Amino acid sequence: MSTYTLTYFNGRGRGELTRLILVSAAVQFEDVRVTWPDDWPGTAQADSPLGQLPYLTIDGIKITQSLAIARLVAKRFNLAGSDDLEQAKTDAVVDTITDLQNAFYLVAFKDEPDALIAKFIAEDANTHLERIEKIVTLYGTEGYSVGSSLKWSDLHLFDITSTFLALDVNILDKYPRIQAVRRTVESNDKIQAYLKDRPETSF
Amino acid sequence: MPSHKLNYFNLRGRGEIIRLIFAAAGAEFTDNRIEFDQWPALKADAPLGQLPYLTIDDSTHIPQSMAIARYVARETGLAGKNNLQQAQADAIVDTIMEPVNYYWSNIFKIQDANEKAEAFKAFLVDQGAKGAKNVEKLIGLYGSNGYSVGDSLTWADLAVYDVASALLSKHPEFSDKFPVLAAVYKNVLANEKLANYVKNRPETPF
Repeated sequence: MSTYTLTYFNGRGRGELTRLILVSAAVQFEDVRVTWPDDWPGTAQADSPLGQLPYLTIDGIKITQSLAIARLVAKRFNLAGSDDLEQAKTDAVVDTITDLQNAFYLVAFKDEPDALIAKFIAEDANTHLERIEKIVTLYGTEGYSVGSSLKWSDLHLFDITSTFLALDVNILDKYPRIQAVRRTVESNDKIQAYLKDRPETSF
Repeated sequence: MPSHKLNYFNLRGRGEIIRLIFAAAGAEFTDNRIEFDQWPALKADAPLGQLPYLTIDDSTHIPQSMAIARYVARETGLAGKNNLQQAQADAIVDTIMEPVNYYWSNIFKIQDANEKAEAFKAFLVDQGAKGAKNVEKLIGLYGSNGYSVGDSLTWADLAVYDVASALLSKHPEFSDKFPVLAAVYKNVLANEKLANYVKNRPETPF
């Protein structure tokens, strides 16, 4: 059996999706959380293939890029979709959610983000959320973003929308299918146990 | 194999990688190029109101250029030989897309021609060069002999080609600075079907 080590900052960010996938598949993995300024940049950056995090080390081989990593473990543990077509739909849902994540990160990590974040929530977030609602309605069933069983797209949806709920508790009110997928993930035993114990982090 | 129709503008942009995969594999597809004046009437047909999207067997529609490209790569055997190689190909494509997406979000939209030219020059030296170096690093880790991953053609090579060809036509000196990318570029052009497609494709501004 392979050994998995995820190396990322002590935060959710671009690493949490892979953690959620491994947790929901009950896969043992080493969850290396890099802190700055102690570990990063320093040796932790030198050890990473492109000087960026996350990266996944599988049996000594380092894979970079958060979605490439997540997709790999999702495929290995049957959370990617049962055939090429289902996998393509799952990828499309993931990419639509990532569009929201990337757009948000463009404002959230600036020096004085509060006004920008408020503007994002008021103006841009809904355009993305509407697309997510649309595509999960197109490909999924009640409680699932694609087909009728748990996929990594459900976990990504849960992870990213959690950030927005923390900023505006009403932001998902207009999106019943998004809410239904969140309930599926939240009621998963292994995810529940993981969420109870995971460190509280600022991002 | 199911029937495939790619719906995109009459441009390379975010659609060309998909066309290149079909071409290199010699796989049939309908290349539905939509002109700007037709688009508003057709927008409602697109799952997310955006292009590209792929229509499979006249019934299923997949949006998101990368999801489409990865699916077509898998269907045509150009994704990578196993899950690990597929992850390596994904990682290389994602690394290429970092500066490309930056370009689309920040540079492409600039209206003033002079401002745009200045911003593009700065981008090439900064994000462009950094991105190219990173891709070369991963090819060094994952590939061999002019292939980005393993020892055979994958869509990662076609993604390198797609971006490099846009750049090399305007900045041939690029190939000296990035020999690993230049080797992949040359290798891709050695694929007859692909070379043929490129020779015959419509000339478009981008």
